[in-house]
Amino acid sequence: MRTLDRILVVLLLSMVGFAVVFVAHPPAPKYFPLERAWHVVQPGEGPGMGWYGRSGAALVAGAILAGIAWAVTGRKSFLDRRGFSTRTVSAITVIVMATMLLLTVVVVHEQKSWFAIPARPLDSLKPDRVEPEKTPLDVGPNGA
Amino acid sequence: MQPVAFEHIDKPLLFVHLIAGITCVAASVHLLLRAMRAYQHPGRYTGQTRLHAVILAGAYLSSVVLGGLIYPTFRIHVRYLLFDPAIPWATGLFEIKELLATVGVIPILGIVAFSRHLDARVPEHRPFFPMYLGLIGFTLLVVLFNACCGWYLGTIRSL
Repeated sequence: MRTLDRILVVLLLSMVGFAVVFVAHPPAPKYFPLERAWHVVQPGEGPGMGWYGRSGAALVAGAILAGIAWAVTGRKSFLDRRGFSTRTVSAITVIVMATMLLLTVVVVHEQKSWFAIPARPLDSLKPDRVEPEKTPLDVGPNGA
Repeated sequence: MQPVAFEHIDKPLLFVHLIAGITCVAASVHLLLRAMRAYQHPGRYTGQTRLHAVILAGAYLSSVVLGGLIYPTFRIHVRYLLFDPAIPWATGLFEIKELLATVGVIPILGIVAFSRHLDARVPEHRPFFPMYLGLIGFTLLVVLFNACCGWYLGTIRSL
Protein backbone atom coordinates (compact mmCIF):
# COMPACT_ATOMS: atom_id res chain seq x y z
CA MET A 1 0.00 0.00 0.00
CA ARG A 2 1.44 3.35 -1.07
CA THR A 3 1.42 6.58 0.89
CA LEU A 4 -1.16 7.99 -1.53
CA ASP A 5 -3.46 5.04 -0.83
CA ARG A 6 -3.12 5.69 2.88
CA ILE A 7 -3.93 9.37 2.38
CA LEU A 8 -6.97 8.36 0.37
CA VAL A 9 -8.23 6.05 3.14
CA VAL A 10 -7.58 8.70 5.78
CA LEU A 11 -9.40 11.32 3.74
CA LEU A 12 -12.35 9.02 3.12
CA LEU A 13 -12.80 8.00 6.75
CA SER A 14 -12.22 11.47 8.18
CA MET A 15 -14.68 12.98 5.72
CA VAL A 16 -17.32 10.36 6.48
CA GLY A 17 -16.77 10.71 10.25
CA PHE A 18 -16.96 14.47 10.00
CA ALA A 19 -20.13 14.27 7.89
CA VAL A 20 -21.92 11.87 10.23
CA VAL A 21 -21.32 14.01 13.32
CA PHE A 22 -21.95 17.25 11.45
CA VAL A 23 -25.31 16.06 10.12
CA ALA A 24 -26.34 14.22 13.31
CA HIS A 25 -25.65 17.43 15.22
CA PRO A 26 -25.26 15.80 18.70
CA PRO A 27 -25.59 18.02 21.80
CA ALA A 28 -22.45 20.09 22.05
CA PRO A 29 -21.42 23.00 24.26
CA LYS A 30 -22.87 26.36 23.24
CA TYR A 31 -21.07 29.61 23.90
CA PHE A 32 -23.01 32.56 25.30
CA PRO A 33 -20.98 35.68 24.53
CA LEU A 34 -22.89 38.06 26.81
CA GLU A 35 -22.38 35.73 29.73
CA ARG A 36 -18.92 34.61 28.53
CA ALA A 37 -19.83 31.05 29.47
CA TRP A 38 -20.38 27.64 27.90
CA HIS A 39 -23.54 25.60 28.46
CA VAL A 40 -24.49 22.20 27.14
CA VAL A 41 -28.02 21.75 28.39
CA GLN A 42 -29.51 24.78 30.11
CA PRO A 43 -29.98 27.96 28.10
CA GLY A 44 -27.67 30.81 28.93
CA GLU A 45 -28.17 34.54 29.01
CA GLY A 46 -28.65 36.19 25.63
CA PRO A 47 -27.99 34.65 22.24
CA GLY A 48 -26.04 31.41 22.03
CA MET A 49 -23.43 30.28 19.54
CA GLY A 50 -23.56 26.65 18.47
CA TRP A 51 -21.02 26.90 15.66
CA TYR A 52 -17.98 26.26 17.89
CA GLY A 53 -19.40 23.13 19.47
CA ARG A 54 -20.81 21.67 16.29
CA SER A 55 -17.67 22.37 14.26
CA GLY A 56 -15.41 21.15 17.05
CA ALA A 57 -17.34 17.90 17.53
CA ALA A 58 -17.36 17.14 13.79
CA LEU A 59 -13.66 17.96 13.36
CA VAL A 60 -12.68 15.89 16.41
CA ALA A 61 -14.65 12.93 15.01
CA GLY A 62 -12.88 13.36 11.67
CA ALA A 63 -9.48 13.62 13.39
CA ILE A 64 -10.06 10.50 15.48
CA LEU A 65 -11.04 8.45 12.45
CA ALA A 66 -8.11 9.89 10.49
CA GLY A 67 -5.71 8.87 13.25
CA ILE A 68 -7.14 5.36 13.42
CA ALA A 69 -7.03 5.00 9.62
CA TRP A 70 -3.42 6.22 9.46
CA ALA A 71 -2.35 3.85 12.25
CA VAL A 72 -4.15 0.81 10.81
CA THR A 73 -2.95 1.34 7.24
CA GLY A 74 0.60 1.79 8.57
CA ARG A 75 0.75 -1.76 9.87
CA LYS A 76 2.97 -4.17 7.97
CA SER A 77 0.07 -6.35 6.89
CA PHE A 78 -1.43 -3.37 5.10
CA LEU A 79 1.83 -1.93 3.79
CA ASP A 80 2.65 -5.25 2.10
CA ARG A 81 -0.58 -5.23 0.14
CA ARG A 82 -0.80 -4.05 -3.43
CA GLY A 83 -1.88 -0.48 -4.02
CA PHE A 84 -5.46 0.41 -4.89
CA SER A 85 -6.59 -0.15 -8.46
CA THR A 86 -7.65 2.79 -10.59
CA ARG A 87 -11.26 1.72 -10.13
CA THR A 88 -10.97 1.77 -6.33
CA VAL A 89 -9.31 5.18 -6.40
CA SER A 90 -12.11 6.48 -8.64
CA ALA A 91 -14.79 5.01 -6.37
CA ILE A 92 -13.29 6.62 -3.26
CA THR A 93 -12.98 9.90 -5.15
CA VAL A 94 -16.67 9.79 -6.03
CA ILE A 95 -17.64 9.01 -2.42
CA VAL A 96 -15.56 11.86 -0.99
CA MET A 97 -16.86 14.34 -3.59
CA ALA A 98 -20.44 13.20 -3.00
CA THR A 99 -19.97 13.63 0.76
CA MET A 100 -18.73 17.19 0.31
CA LEU A 101 -21.63 17.95 -2.02
CA LEU A 102 -24.10 16.39 0.43
CA LEU A 103 -22.71 18.48 3.29
CA THR A 104 -23.10 21.62 1.19
CA VAL A 105 -26.74 20.73 0.46
CA VAL A 106 -27.38 19.99 4.14
CA VAL A 107 -25.89 23.34 5.18
CA VAL A 108 -28.03 25.28 2.70
CA HIS A 109 -31.13 23.26 3.56
CA GLU A 110 -30.69 23.86 7.31
CA GLN A 111 -30.52 27.62 6.82
CA LYS A 112 -33.34 28.04 4.34
CA SER A 113 -35.83 29.00 7.04
CA TRP A 114 -33.93 32.27 7.55
CA PHE A 115 -34.73 33.23 3.98
CA ALA A 116 -38.46 32.61 4.47
CA ILE A 117 -38.79 35.23 7.24
CA PRO A 118 -39.74 38.61 5.80
CA ALA A 119 -37.31 41.43 6.46
CA ARG A 120 -38.38 44.36 8.64
CA PRO A 121 -37.71 48.01 7.97
CA LEU A 122 -34.51 49.06 9.66
CA ASP A 123 -36.01 52.18 11.23
CA SER A 124 -38.32 49.96 13.30
CA LEU A 125 -35.31 48.83 15.34
CA LYS A 126 -34.04 50.54 18.43
CA PRO A 127 -30.60 52.09 17.93
CA ASP A 128 -27.97 49.77 19.36
CA ARG A 129 -25.27 52.38 19.69
CA VAL A 130 -25.71 55.80 21.23
CA GLU A 131 -24.80 58.51 18.76
CA PRO A 132 -22.08 60.80 20.16
CA GLU A 133 -23.14 64.30 20.97
CA LYS A 134 -22.33 66.83 18.30
CA THR A 135 -19.24 68.88 18.99
CA PRO A 136 -18.85 72.53 17.99
CA LEU A 137 -16.78 71.32 15.02
CA ASP A 138 -19.70 69.16 13.77
CA VAL A 139 -22.19 71.93 14.31
CA GLY A 140 -20.11 74.62 12.67
CA PRO A 141 -19.76 78.32 13.47
CA ASN A 142 -23.27 79.19 12.33
CA GLY A 143 -24.92 76.30 14.15
CA ALA A 144 -25.78 74.58 10.83
CA MET B 1 -23.67 46.18 27.61
CA GLN B 2 -20.38 44.64 28.81
CA PRO B 3 -17.76 43.93 26.12
CA VAL B 4 -17.69 40.44 24.65
CA ALA B 5 -14.57 38.38 24.12
CA PHE B 6 -11.96 39.94 21.81
CA GLU B 7 -14.16 42.99 21.23
CA HIS B 8 -11.27 45.33 22.09
CA ILE B 9 -9.17 43.98 19.19
CA ASP B 10 -11.98 43.15 16.76
CA LYS B 11 -10.87 45.60 14.04
CA PRO B 12 -7.27 44.30 13.73
CA LEU B 13 -8.56 40.72 13.80
CA LEU B 14 -11.11 41.53 11.12
CA PHE B 15 -8.42 43.12 8.97
CA VAL B 16 -6.16 40.05 9.18
CA HIS B 17 -9.23 37.87 8.53
CA LEU B 18 -9.81 39.90 5.35
CA ILE B 19 -6.18 39.52 4.25
CA ALA B 20 -6.31 35.77 4.92
CA GLY B 21 -9.55 35.53 2.90
CA ILE B 22 -8.05 37.34 -0.08
CA THR B 23 -4.98 35.08 0.15
CA CYS B 24 -7.26 32.02 0.15
CA VAL B 25 -8.96 33.08 -3.08
CA ALA B 26 -5.68 33.92 -4.80
CA ALA B 27 -3.89 30.77 -3.62
CA SER B 28 -6.75 28.44 -4.56
CA VAL B 29 -7.03 29.89 -8.08
CA HIS B 30 -3.26 29.61 -8.55
CA LEU B 31 -3.20 26.11 -7.11
CA LEU B 32 -6.01 24.87 -9.36
CA LEU B 33 -4.32 26.23 -12.49
CA ARG B 34 -0.89 24.90 -11.50
CA ALA B 35 -2.27 21.49 -10.55
CA MET B 36 -4.04 21.18 -13.90
CA ARG B 37 -0.83 22.12 -15.70
CA ALA B 38 1.17 19.72 -13.54
CA TYR B 39 -1.17 16.96 -14.72
CA GLN B 40 -0.86 18.00 -18.38
CA HIS B 41 2.92 18.52 -18.24
CA PRO B 42 4.35 15.89 -15.87
CA GLY B 43 7.47 17.00 -14.05
CA ARG B 44 6.65 20.68 -14.16
CA TYR B 45 4.88 22.92 -11.63
CA THR B 46 5.22 20.34 -8.82
CA GLY B 47 7.17 22.69 -6.55
CA GLN B 48 4.72 25.51 -7.22
CA THR B 49 1.71 23.38 -6.34
CA ARG B 50 3.36 22.41 -3.04
CA LEU B 51 4.04 26.04 -2.21
CA HIS B 52 0.52 27.18 -3.15
CA ALA B 53 -1.02 24.32 -1.16
CA VAL B 54 0.88 25.33 1.98
CA ILE B 55 -0.03 29.01 1.48
CA LEU B 56 -3.68 28.07 0.93
CA ALA B 57 -3.79 25.87 4.02
CA GLY B 58 -2.13 28.50 6.20
CA ALA B 59 -4.43 31.26 4.96
CA TYR B 60 -7.54 29.10 5.21
CA LEU B 61 -6.90 27.86 8.73
CA SER B 62 -5.91 31.37 9.86
CA SER B 63 -9.09 32.74 8.35
CA VAL B 64 -11.24 30.15 10.15
CA VAL B 65 -9.51 30.73 13.50
CA LEU B 66 -9.67 34.52 13.18
CA GLY B 67 -13.31 34.29 12.12
CA GLY B 68 -13.94 32.25 15.27
CA LEU B 69 -12.29 34.91 17.41
CA ILE B 70 -14.33 37.82 16.02
CA TYR B 71 -17.54 35.82 15.87
CA PRO B 72 -18.71 36.69 19.46
CA THR B 73 -18.52 40.43 18.73
CA PHE B 74 -20.25 39.93 15.40
CA ARG B 75 -22.87 37.70 17.03
CA ILE B 76 -23.90 40.46 19.42
CA HIS B 77 -23.33 43.75 17.63
CA VAL B 78 -24.35 42.71 14.13
CA ARG B 79 -26.34 39.50 14.14
CA TYR B 80 -28.28 39.81 17.37
CA LEU B 81 -29.04 43.52 17.05
CA LEU B 82 -29.61 43.82 13.31
CA PHE B 83 -29.53 40.69 11.17
CA ASP B 84 -31.75 38.40 13.29
CA PRO B 85 -34.59 40.89 13.96
CA ALA B 86 -34.52 42.90 10.72
CA ILE B 87 -32.81 41.07 7.86
CA PRO B 88 -32.95 37.35 8.63
CA TRP B 89 -31.77 36.35 5.16
CA ALA B 90 -28.44 37.97 6.07
CA THR B 91 -28.21 35.64 9.07
CA GLY B 92 -28.95 32.69 6.78
CA LEU B 93 -26.22 33.78 4.39
CA PHE B 94 -23.77 34.23 7.26
CA GLU B 95 -24.57 30.81 8.75
CA ILE B 96 -24.04 29.12 5.38
CA LYS B 97 -20.69 30.91 5.10
CA GLU B 98 -19.56 29.81 8.56
CA LEU B 99 -20.65 26.19 8.23
CA LEU B 100 -19.15 25.83 4.74
CA ALA B 101 -15.86 27.14 6.11
CA THR B 102 -15.88 24.25 8.60
CA VAL B 103 -16.75 21.73 5.87
CA GLY B 104 -13.69 22.94 3.95
CA VAL B 105 -11.15 22.17 6.68
CA ILE B 106 -10.65 18.46 5.92
CA PRO B 107 -10.36 19.01 2.13
CA ILE B 108 -7.67 21.63 2.84
CA LEU B 109 -5.62 19.13 4.84
CA GLY B 110 -6.16 16.57 2.06
CA ILE B 111 -4.84 19.06 -0.50
CA VAL B 112 -1.64 19.58 1.51
CA ALA B 113 -1.12 15.83 1.93
CA PHE B 114 -1.66 15.10 -1.77
CA SER B 115 0.48 18.02 -2.91
CA ARG B 116 3.46 16.63 -0.97
CA HIS B 117 3.26 13.16 -2.48
CA LEU B 118 1.64 13.43 -5.92
CA ASP B 119 3.99 13.30 -8.89
CA ALA B 120 2.38 13.34 -12.34
CA ARG B 121 5.47 11.62 -13.82
CA VAL B 122 4.62 8.42 -11.96
CA PRO B 123 1.87 6.57 -13.88
CA GLU B 124 0.43 5.05 -10.66
CA HIS B 125 -0.11 8.54 -9.24
CA ARG B 126 -2.18 9.87 -12.11
CA PRO B 127 -5.50 8.26 -10.99
CA PHE B 128 -5.26 10.37 -7.83
CA PHE B 129 -5.37 13.64 -9.74
CA PRO B 130 -9.19 13.80 -10.07
CA MET B 131 -9.43 13.65 -6.27
CA TYR B 132 -6.72 16.29 -5.89
CA LEU B 133 -8.32 18.61 -8.45
CA GLY B 134 -11.79 17.98 -6.98
CA LEU B 135 -10.62 18.98 -3.51
CA ILE B 136 -9.03 22.15 -4.88
CA GLY B 137 -12.14 22.95 -6.95
CA PHE B 138 -14.41 22.50 -3.95
CA THR B 139 -12.15 24.69 -1.82
CA LEU B 140 -12.08 27.36 -4.51
CA LEU B 141 -15.89 27.45 -4.62
CA VAL B 142 -16.10 27.66 -0.83
CA VAL B 143 -13.57 30.49 -0.50
CA LEU B 144 -15.12 32.40 -3.42
CA PHE B 145 -18.60 32.10 -1.90
CA ASN B 146 -17.33 33.04 1.55
CA ALA B 147 -15.34 36.00 0.26
CA CYS B 148 -18.34 37.34 -1.67
CA CYS B 149 -20.69 36.77 1.29
CA GLY B 150 -18.26 38.33 3.74
CA TRP B 151 -17.84 41.39 1.57
CA TYR B 152 -21.58 41.77 0.95
CA LEU B 153 -22.59 41.33 4.58
CA GLY B 154 -19.87 43.78 5.54
CA THR B 155 -21.50 46.40 3.31
CA ILE B 156 -24.71 46.03 5.36
CA ARG B 157 -22.98 46.26 8.73
CA SER B 158 -19.62 45.21 9.98
CA LEU B 159 -17.98 45.21 13.40
